[in-house]
Amino acid sequence: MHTPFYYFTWFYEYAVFFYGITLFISYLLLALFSSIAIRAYFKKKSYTDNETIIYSPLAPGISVIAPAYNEELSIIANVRSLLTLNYVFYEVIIINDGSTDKTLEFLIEEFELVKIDYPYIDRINTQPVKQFFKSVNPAFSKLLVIDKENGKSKADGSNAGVNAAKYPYYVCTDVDCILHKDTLVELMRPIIQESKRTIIATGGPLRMANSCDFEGGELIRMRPPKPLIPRFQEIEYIRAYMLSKMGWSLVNAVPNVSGGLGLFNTEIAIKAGGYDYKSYAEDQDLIMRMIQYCCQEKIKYGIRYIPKTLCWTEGPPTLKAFVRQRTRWAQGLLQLMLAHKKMFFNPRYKRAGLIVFPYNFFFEFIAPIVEITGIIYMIVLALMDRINWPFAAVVFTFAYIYSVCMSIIAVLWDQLAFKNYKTWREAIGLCLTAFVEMFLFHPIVLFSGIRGYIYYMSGRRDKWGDMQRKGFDTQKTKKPAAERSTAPSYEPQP
Amino acid sequence: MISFISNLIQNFRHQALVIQMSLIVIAACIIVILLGFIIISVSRYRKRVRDRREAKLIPTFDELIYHYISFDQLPISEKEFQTKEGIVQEIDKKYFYRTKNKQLFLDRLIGFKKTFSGDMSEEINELFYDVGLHKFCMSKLSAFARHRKTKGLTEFIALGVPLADVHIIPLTHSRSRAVRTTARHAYIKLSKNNPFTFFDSSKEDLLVWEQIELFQIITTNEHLVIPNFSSWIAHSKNKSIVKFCLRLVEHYHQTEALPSVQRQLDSPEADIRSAAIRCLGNMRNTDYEDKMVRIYYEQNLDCQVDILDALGRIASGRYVDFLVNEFRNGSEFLIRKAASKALMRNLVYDPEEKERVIAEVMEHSSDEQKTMINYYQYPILKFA
Repeated sequence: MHTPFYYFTWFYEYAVFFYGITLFISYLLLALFSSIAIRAYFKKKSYTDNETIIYSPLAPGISVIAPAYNEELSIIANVRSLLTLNYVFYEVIIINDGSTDKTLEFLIEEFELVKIDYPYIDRINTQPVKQFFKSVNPAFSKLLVIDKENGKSKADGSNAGVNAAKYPYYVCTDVDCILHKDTLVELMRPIIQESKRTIIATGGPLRMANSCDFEGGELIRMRPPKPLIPRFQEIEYIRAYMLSKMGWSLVNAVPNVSGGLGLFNTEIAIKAGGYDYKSYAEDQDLIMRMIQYCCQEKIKYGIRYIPKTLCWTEGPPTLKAFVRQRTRWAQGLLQLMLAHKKMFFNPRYKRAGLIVFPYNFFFEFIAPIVEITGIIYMIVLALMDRINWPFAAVVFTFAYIYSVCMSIIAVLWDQLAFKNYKTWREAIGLCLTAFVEMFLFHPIVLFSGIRGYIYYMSGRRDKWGDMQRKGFDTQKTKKPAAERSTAPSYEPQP
Repeated sequence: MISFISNLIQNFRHQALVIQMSLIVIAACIIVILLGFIIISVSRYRKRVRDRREAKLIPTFDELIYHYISFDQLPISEKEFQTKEGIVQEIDKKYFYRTKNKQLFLDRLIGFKKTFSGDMSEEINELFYDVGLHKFCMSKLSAFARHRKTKGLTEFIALGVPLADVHIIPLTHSRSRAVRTTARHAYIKLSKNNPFTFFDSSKEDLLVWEQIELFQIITTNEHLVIPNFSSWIAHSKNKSIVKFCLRLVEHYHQTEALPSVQRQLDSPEADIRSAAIRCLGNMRNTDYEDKMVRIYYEQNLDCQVDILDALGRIASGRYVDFLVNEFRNGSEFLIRKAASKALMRNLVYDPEEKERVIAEVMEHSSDEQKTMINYYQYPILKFA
């Protein structure tokens, strides 16, 4: 007669075994899919010329939307960078989301802005919009600045931008992100090359800006970050974009288009209700609602990712800032799971309901819980002296080496496709970082994830982070820490 | 540790299945990791070698191309070669033993083609033939890989060298959309025979990028005889071709095609009506204002906005009352906004009338409407 403990261990071990096997197989498939998707991207690119699209009167227009909250340190350089993107039909909408510093004053002064009456309607509800500004200088005719009351989230600012957008597509980014000059044409390419589906969103990879060199709002030298936390994030981002999202893109099952850089269909975003200002993962939430809208309206939608890095963002340089960021992301994930639970294995939402949402649930949301229970279970078994240590070592080595292998494959795809780093040492150095990631970085991610779930369930709301932005032009002229922006700023999620 | 590993390997057959699988995956992963490092290193090394080679070859190729295309203009003292054939021989013997060099030379040639026009441009084509690159490009057209075919066609298009129909036409029926489309572009750009015939037979929708490429090829090809697009507008069953032709009518300002455009206002397809309205608006022809206003109330929101926009572009001043009415009573924000914009454009040529109408409109307007009128009056702003 077996004890209940026996049945529990039997069930738990088998469940974790099959969970792990499914996860490993899915990673393998994603690696395969992503390689196909990257090759397809290059093939398609080989017969289209960026310049033809950039200067064509037939190219669809794009509104670039960038909410800013207390970004006085970097706002000027970054808006200048946005105004020099390579595309003909585009506008730049900066939303001053009730900044308490001199963000708006700096904008007015630098870009010769004057207050204007602007025909505006709240198609998506936001905090009240106070005033609109346009430049008297024709060189900045693409720029529109919206000054609104603080909405306590990036979502509210973005919604105001979407309301004011005049073009059929909009790119949502952060003013503290540096964009590649060809960002708009690269993001537009999957839309104009698609023959079977209405592409509702496209995204491109984000990378860490921490050790890169920028000049005049443009990247001149890309390096893997030297500080350890952003360096781990670089690996994580490469894995997330080059392996995961590119793989999902091939089978039209992209779960999320990052808030740091994404191009969206304006009309569908508005009809889906825009960004949820209460959400901690407003980008993923919007994608879910856009998918739901398309399924309801029977629109054959598509979401695409491209492998070319188009956006660089400053990662949290300190452990504290990083933990806070990840805690918030975990809260966002839990919130998302609850908000869209109706999609779970719901055939009405097709791939999104049968693949995307369950995958997110089992391998993103549940993963930290499985892991933490696994650790507790191991400790209990160890105390009861019921572990076969040699075999446990084999299984652990298997999990470890497999995760390292996936990271190396992601860096390999990235290197084969773009060779972003200048030296061999940088590329191999980044690969070697993957060997310590599991011991140094992963426990922090796990801790932050569990912390986020506990915070959310206990009703504790984390504030928007107080990440210290250094600004991209401060590497040469560093300001004292006291002068740096210490106010909440928006941070993109891969 | 070593004894444990050797024990595991030696007793592999007797281990539990999970351990066997784990060991196999561990071994596979180690191989993949090592391969990853090797591939990264080798690919970086190869790129370095390629970059060095290109850095060395590009200035030489540029110099040779420049010498060839400006041979007749160069003073004798600056001539490194006695004849053009000398340049060709130098290129052929010294560099063309490697396919990679051929490709690099071809890319440079295409770069020169984009920069030069007139006689120089013709000289570039001559050099293309003299060094035998036409055979190199032609070999791509018969390659198995579809992207090689597309690349070959793209190169012919970029250089604008004539290509016999016999080579292009089979590719216009390719199963690959990319090959098919590029072949059509090549046909339009390079064929001497009626290049627009595919408009008659094409059943699949033209994608936006195809339209962009076609538009660029058609509008930048000086030797192309532009046909009257009205026949396709009137008879084509392919919606995307009708819409594309409407854009071309607009671009070439083909007033003779306007009756066909006007007939599309009665099309059952909203997006075709919309394209026709935009075309008429951009052509700024006053003859069709009446019809647009007549059908206005039967249209969906997008078409109504397009009609208001078209009336604004035509700016005849004949429909000020209609625009005032729409501005005041339009149920949708977009209607009121488009009407206010069109109204301001219609009043621009008559300052007195403008002052009177604005005063009258402002008197009974809501804050939102006043904002619209004010916005479209700012002289500092450029409105698309």
